[in-house]
Amino acid sequence: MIRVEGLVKRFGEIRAVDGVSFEVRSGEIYGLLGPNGAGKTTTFSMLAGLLGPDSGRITLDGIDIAEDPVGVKRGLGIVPQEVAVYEELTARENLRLWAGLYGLTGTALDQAVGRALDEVGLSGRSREPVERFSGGMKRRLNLSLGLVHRPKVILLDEPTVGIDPQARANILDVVRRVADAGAAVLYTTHYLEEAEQLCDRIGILDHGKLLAEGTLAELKEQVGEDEVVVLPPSLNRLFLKLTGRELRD
Amino acid sequence: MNGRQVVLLVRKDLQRRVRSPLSTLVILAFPLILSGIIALAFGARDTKPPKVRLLLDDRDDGLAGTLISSAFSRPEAAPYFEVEKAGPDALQRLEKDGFSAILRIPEGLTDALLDGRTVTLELVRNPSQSILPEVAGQVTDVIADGLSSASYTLEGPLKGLTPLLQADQGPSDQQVAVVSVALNQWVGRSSRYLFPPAIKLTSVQLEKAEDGPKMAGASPTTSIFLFVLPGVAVFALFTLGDQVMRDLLTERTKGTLRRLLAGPVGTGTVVAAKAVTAAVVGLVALLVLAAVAGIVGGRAVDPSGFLLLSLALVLAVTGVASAVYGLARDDRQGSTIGSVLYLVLAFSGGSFLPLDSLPAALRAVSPFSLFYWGTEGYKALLGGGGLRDVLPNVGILAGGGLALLVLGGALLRRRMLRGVA
Repeated sequence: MIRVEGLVKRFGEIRAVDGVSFEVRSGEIYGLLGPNGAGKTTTFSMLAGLLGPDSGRITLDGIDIAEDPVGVKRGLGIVPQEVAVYEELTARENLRLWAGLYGLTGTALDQAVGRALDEVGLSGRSREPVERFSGGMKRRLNLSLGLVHRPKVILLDEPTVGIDPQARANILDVVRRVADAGAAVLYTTHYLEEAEQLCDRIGILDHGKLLAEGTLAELKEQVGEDEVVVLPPSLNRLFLKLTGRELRD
Repeated sequence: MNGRQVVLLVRKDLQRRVRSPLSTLVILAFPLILSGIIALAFGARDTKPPKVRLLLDDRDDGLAGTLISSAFSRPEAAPYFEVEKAGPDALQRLEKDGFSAILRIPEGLTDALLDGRTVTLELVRNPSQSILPEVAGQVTDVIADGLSSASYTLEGPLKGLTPLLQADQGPSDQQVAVVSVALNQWVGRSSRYLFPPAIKLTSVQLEKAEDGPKMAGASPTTSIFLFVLPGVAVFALFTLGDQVMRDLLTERTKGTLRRLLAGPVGTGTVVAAKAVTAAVVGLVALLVLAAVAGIVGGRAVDPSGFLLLSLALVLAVTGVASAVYGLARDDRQGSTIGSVLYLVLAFSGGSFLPLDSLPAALRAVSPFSLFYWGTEGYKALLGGGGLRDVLPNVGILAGGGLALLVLGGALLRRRMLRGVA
């Protein structure tokens, strides 16, 4: 599980993350939503151990990231927003590399790679260089690289950007399955209908603060039910009510 | 630092390089192509100088004309001059057939010389040539001076000879004897000034010690190739190392670095993996270049000296590249800094030009360039030197490289974290 308590991160005078606390339980998908500049990426970077918080505490699967960053990262799966794969290598070679870096060897590694390829439907093209893949295939591989070592905690940063509905459906199915298998999933996206469909609970972040949190029903209750029921999609309406219509940089 | 992860990352980078080999091959081919071109340009040309082709238009048809004509045909002049008798189409042939000049010997030259009158030789130069007509002009000038001097010096005997030559009938034996006696007396009087010469000129061609490796039995082309190759190879190796280390910042741009660091891979492991990749690629490149040098030169260098010098050079290459990319904001900035820096270090270190052709001020700073120690080390090995001869080079390259690697590694680790968060 993921537990974030009183997280603060400043860049000069700017408080990019300002006292954020939330928790993602095992088997749960938690949607972290917010407009550009809300503090999602900074929070994500701190959860991934790429950035140290100024104050606050992060524990992943019961381990404090400040105390044992490498230990925490072994049980963490990251799916970044950009397609972070080695295009000159094949899908299989990419998966073998990442599985190896996470400590898998021998049969366990072979099985993990085979399972990951099956999961995202790339077994038939696993020996082709990734540079020949379509955008959707690369996105599916990008997802499987974060899951190949069966992590208990998974961070997904807009994993469905720019792909067709079929690839998106596949990715959402896979995310649902790993959560059902017991992983704690933190999911950020700008596609609100996607969050509405996938996430068990949602946190809405803006100006570094967590404005609201809960299930969709709980959020509706917090914001005011009639407005969100009248104009579907309901989460989209609710989101704009919370964060405003002002354009962000 | 995790050794297993380093191995995995190095294998990954080598696989990527093998799958996309063009840039590596281009850098590897660069020293061979450049050295080959320079060697062919300066070594493969005919060792004989080009001949001055001269059309001789002898309108005098007398003794002086024959003297001039024979001066160009003497065995000493034969390697440099090719003389043909000019016909009425001489002007057309000058350009069409590539002659350097037409030398016109005027009618009455012999008479004028005998009478001590001034006369003019005319040299028509081929405008499409520059040096060879000048050579023809200079030589003709010398001949004209010689004839003029002879004309003045032998004025007395020649004047005695003139009526004999102009007579309708040939000179009698008595007349010939008189002139011969006069000539003999003149030569006798002049002999103490003419024989033996007071000053003798002897030309000695010195061999320059800095002229690089002397390959016994090697052709000029091979010698020049082996002279140029070490410096250009050292430059190429630095470029190759730069390319490998630049990949670290390219990975940052592509997002794979962020992914690695978000995983259980430390910054030290990532930097170490790139450094090892640079070392492996550099060593392979050096072995290929050494193999080519061995095949072309037909001589193997001292293996222990070569191996140690190469390892030290690879360390230096990795260190310099780490420092460059540790200081650079992104891969493009690093690439620009690297390109300029390597060119400056290569020129000041004597990688492209022989050190003795550099200005004294530049020569004084050469030892501060790691390129200098690499280039001079390989030149020493190609010249027959052994491990002892290159130990100072090994020490400076390894020491400098290690220091820069430590500094560059620290900068890179900081740069990586700043860039991915």
